Amino acid sequence: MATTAVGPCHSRLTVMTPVIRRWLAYGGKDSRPLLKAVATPINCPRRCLPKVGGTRHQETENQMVVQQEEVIYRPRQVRMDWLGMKRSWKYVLKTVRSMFSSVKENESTARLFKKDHVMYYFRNPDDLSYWYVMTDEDYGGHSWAELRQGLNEMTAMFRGYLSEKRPQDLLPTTDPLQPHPPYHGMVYLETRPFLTILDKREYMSLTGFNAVKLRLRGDGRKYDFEMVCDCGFEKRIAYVVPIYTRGGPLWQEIEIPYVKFMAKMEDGGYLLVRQRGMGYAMLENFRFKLQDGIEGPFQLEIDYIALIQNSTFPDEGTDNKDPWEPINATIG
Amino acid sequence: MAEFRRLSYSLIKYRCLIGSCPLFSKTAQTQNLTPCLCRYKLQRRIPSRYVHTRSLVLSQYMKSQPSRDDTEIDIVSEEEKESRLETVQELVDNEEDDSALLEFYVNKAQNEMDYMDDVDYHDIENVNKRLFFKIVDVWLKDVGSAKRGHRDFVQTLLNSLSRFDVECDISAYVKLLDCFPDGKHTGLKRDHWYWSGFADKISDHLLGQQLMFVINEHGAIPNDQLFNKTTDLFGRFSPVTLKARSLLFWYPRMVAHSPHPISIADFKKLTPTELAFNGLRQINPGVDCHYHNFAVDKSRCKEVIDSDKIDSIISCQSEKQKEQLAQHDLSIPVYIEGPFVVYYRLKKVQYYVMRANPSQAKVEEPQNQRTTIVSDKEWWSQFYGVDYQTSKPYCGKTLQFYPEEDFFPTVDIVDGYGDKKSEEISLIDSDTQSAEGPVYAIACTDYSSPVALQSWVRGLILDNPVLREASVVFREEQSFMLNAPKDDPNESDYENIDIRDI
Repeated sequence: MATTAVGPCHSRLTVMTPVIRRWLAYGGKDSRPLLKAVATPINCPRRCLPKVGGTRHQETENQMVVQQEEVIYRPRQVRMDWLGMKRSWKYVLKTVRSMFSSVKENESTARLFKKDHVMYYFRNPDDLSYWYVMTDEDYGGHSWAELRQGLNEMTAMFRGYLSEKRPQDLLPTTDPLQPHPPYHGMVYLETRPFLTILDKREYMSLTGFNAVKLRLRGDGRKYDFEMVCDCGFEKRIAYVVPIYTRGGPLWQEIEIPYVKFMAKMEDGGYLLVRQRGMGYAMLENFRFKLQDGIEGPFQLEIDYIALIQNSTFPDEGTDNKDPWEPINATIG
Repeated sequence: MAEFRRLSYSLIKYRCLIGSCPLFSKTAQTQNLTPCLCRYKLQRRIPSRYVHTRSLVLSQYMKSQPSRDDTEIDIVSEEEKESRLETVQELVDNEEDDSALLEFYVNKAQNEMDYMDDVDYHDIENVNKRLFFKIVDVWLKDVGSAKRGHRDFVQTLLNSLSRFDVECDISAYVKLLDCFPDGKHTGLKRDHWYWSGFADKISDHLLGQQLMFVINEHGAIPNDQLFNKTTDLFGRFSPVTLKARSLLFWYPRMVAHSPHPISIADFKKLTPTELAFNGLRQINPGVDCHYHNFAVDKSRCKEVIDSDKIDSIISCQSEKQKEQLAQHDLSIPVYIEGPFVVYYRLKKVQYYVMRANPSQAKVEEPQNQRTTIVSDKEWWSQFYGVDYQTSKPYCGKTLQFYPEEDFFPTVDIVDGYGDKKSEEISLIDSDTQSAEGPVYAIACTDYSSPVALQSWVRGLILDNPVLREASVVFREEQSFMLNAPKDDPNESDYENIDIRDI
C-alpha cells in the first residue's frame, strides 16, 4: 500500500467558513497589535496569536546559564460578537416588517414619492462613524488626515497634510537610461460598508433618481468623487468624477448626473477603454480621494450628499462611450 | 545541455534560411521579418522591462572572462579576487558617465547655434526650448537614417524635460517621435490584427507608452499630430496608439468638469495680479462681480513684502453682496476675517473676507407689547398685489414688477402619480445660514497687518456708503491651511485602539 500523505492537522475551526469563524475570537488583553492607521478592512479574520513564552534555564557544557523562552498555555477566551448578532436581528425584523408595510413606509418604494433623497449628512457627531479615513501611510507614505466635526458643528471636516515625500522602500533611480516613475501621496475618505446577517455586505441603490448633489466647501484642490458600483469578488469597477472645489467662504453645490461618471478599475488608476453605464442597485460606497500631486495641507467640509431628479439630465447610459472603440479593438 | 543550447541558438539565428519549414509561405520580401512559428524554435526571452547595456567596455570585459559551468567549483585565492575587483573599479571610474550622452549633445548644440536657427525656430521665444529642438536636430544629423541608440537618447531626454522648460509643450513630444527609426523594414509597425501579437521590438513600444504617460503627467495638451505620428510609426494595433487615442478622448472630458480651466503652460505665465484675479473669480463666482485694484497707503503701512507677492489689494464684490451690505444693521460691526488661503491650480492665494455675524432669530416684535401693526403701506400692497403709488401689479408674492430672470429658462416637467412629492434637501439646506453670517466682499493681498486693509475699506466706500457709518473690525482667524503641521498630531491616540472596535 502506498504511503499516505500526511498533511497539516486541521482543527475544528479551520473547517468552518471564515464568516462563522469571526464570531469567535482568540487572544488576551495584552496581545492586541498596535495600530498606526485608524482604518482596517472589516472583513479580515482575526488570527490565532502566537503564544508568549517565559524563561527556562539550560545548562551548557561551559556551565553557563542560558535563558530560553518557555511556552505558556493560556486558556481559550471565547467571545461572542453580540453587536453583530444585534445588527443581524435588526435586519431580520426590518425585512419582515417591510413585507407587511405600505408602499410609502418601505424604503425602496418610498423613493417614487420623493423629489430628492439625502444619503449622508453630519448634523450629529455620531454621523461621523459612518466614514473612515485611509492614507498612504500604509505603504510607507508621510501624509496624515483626520475627520472631525466642522467649526459650525453641523458639517464634517476632512483635513490633513498631503506629503509627496517618497516612501523609504521606493527609492528613485539616478540612472538617466532608466524611466523615472513618479510617486504621488494619496489620502481618501470612504463610507463604511453596510453589513447584514453574518456580515454580508448590503448594497445601496441609486434608483429613482438622476444625479448626485453635493454641498461642500473645499480649498481649491481637485478631489476625486468615486462610487464603487459593481458586485464582484476581487476586481470591481468604480465610477469617478473630478470635483474642482472653489475654496473660499461660500458653499459650493454640485450636481453630477450619473451619465457623467467615468468607469475605472477600483484598484488601478486607469480608466476603462470600454466604458459602460453603472448598475444602479449595486452601490457599495462613496469615496473622496485626493491625489493631485501638490504638497501641502488640505481641507474639505462636507454638508450633505443627496440624490436628485433633474429632467434635463438623461436617465440611463453613459456620456463617455467611444464610438471608435469596437472598431479599434477588432479591425482597426 | 550546452550543446543543445548552442544548436537552438543557431536555429533561431538562421531561422530565415530554413526553407524546408512548411509554415513559411510568405514572399521573399517579408521572409526576413516574419516571426518563425517553427517548432524547433525555443521560447524567446521576452524581457518584462527593457534593459539598456551600460557601456560597451564593461560588457566586453564580462565576455572576456572564461565561461564556467555550474558544476565547477572555483578555488580562487584572495589575491585574485582583489585584483579582479580593482580592474572592475578602474573600469567604473574611467568609463564615461551615462549622463555624458546628454551633456555631449547639449554642448554640441550650443556650439552649433547660428543665425539660421533664428529662422528655423522663429516661433520659439524661449532659449531653452530652442536648445532642446536643436539637440534633437543635431543628433538626427549625427546618427543618420538608422538612428542607432535611439532608445537611450529618447529616455535621457524624457527624464530631463524640465531642464529645457519643455514639459508642457506637445511639440517637444512630437519631435521626440522623430528619433525613432522610421521605415518599412524596422519591424516596429504593428498594422495587422493577428500578426501584431507575435511582433518584436517590445522595448520600443514600451518607451512609446512611457512617453504617453509623461504627456499625461505634465499636463501637455494632446493634438492630432501626436496621434497621426504614433499611428504612422507604431501602427494601429500598438498600445502606444491606444494611449494616444485615450489621451485625445479623455482630455476634453476631464477639462469640462472644471468651471474655469487653464492649462499649466498658461498658468506659468500668469503675473501675481492675474493670479489673484483668477483666484478671486474661483472663490466668488458670478458674471456680475465688480473687481477693483486698490493701492495700499505705504506711508501708514510699514510692512515689507517680496516683489513676487501682491502688494496691492484686489477686491471682488457681487451685486447680491452689495445689496446685503446696504441692508446691514449699523448697530452691529462689520468683521474682516483672515488671512485664509486657497489653492489656485498649483499656487496658493491669500484672501480676507468681509462679513457680518449670523443674525440670531429676529422675531419682529415691537418693544411695547400693547401696540400691534394693523395695516401699513406694505400690508396694503401685499393684500391687493398692486403697487401703492403707481398701481402696477406685482409678480407673485414678491414686491417686484418683473420676475427674476435666469440666464437659461427652467423647465418643470410634472411627473405622474399625482401626489405631491416630498423634499428632503430643503429641510436641511438652510441650517448653515444660522451659524454663518452673510459675506459682503472678498479681497486678495499678501499683507498680514490690518493697517493695509484700511485702503480696502476706503476703496469700497464709493459703491457702499454704509461703510462710512458702520464700524469695521478686524478679526484674526487661526487658519488651519496656514498653520498645518506636517506630522500627525493625533498619533498618540492610535496606540489605544482595539481592532475589534473598528
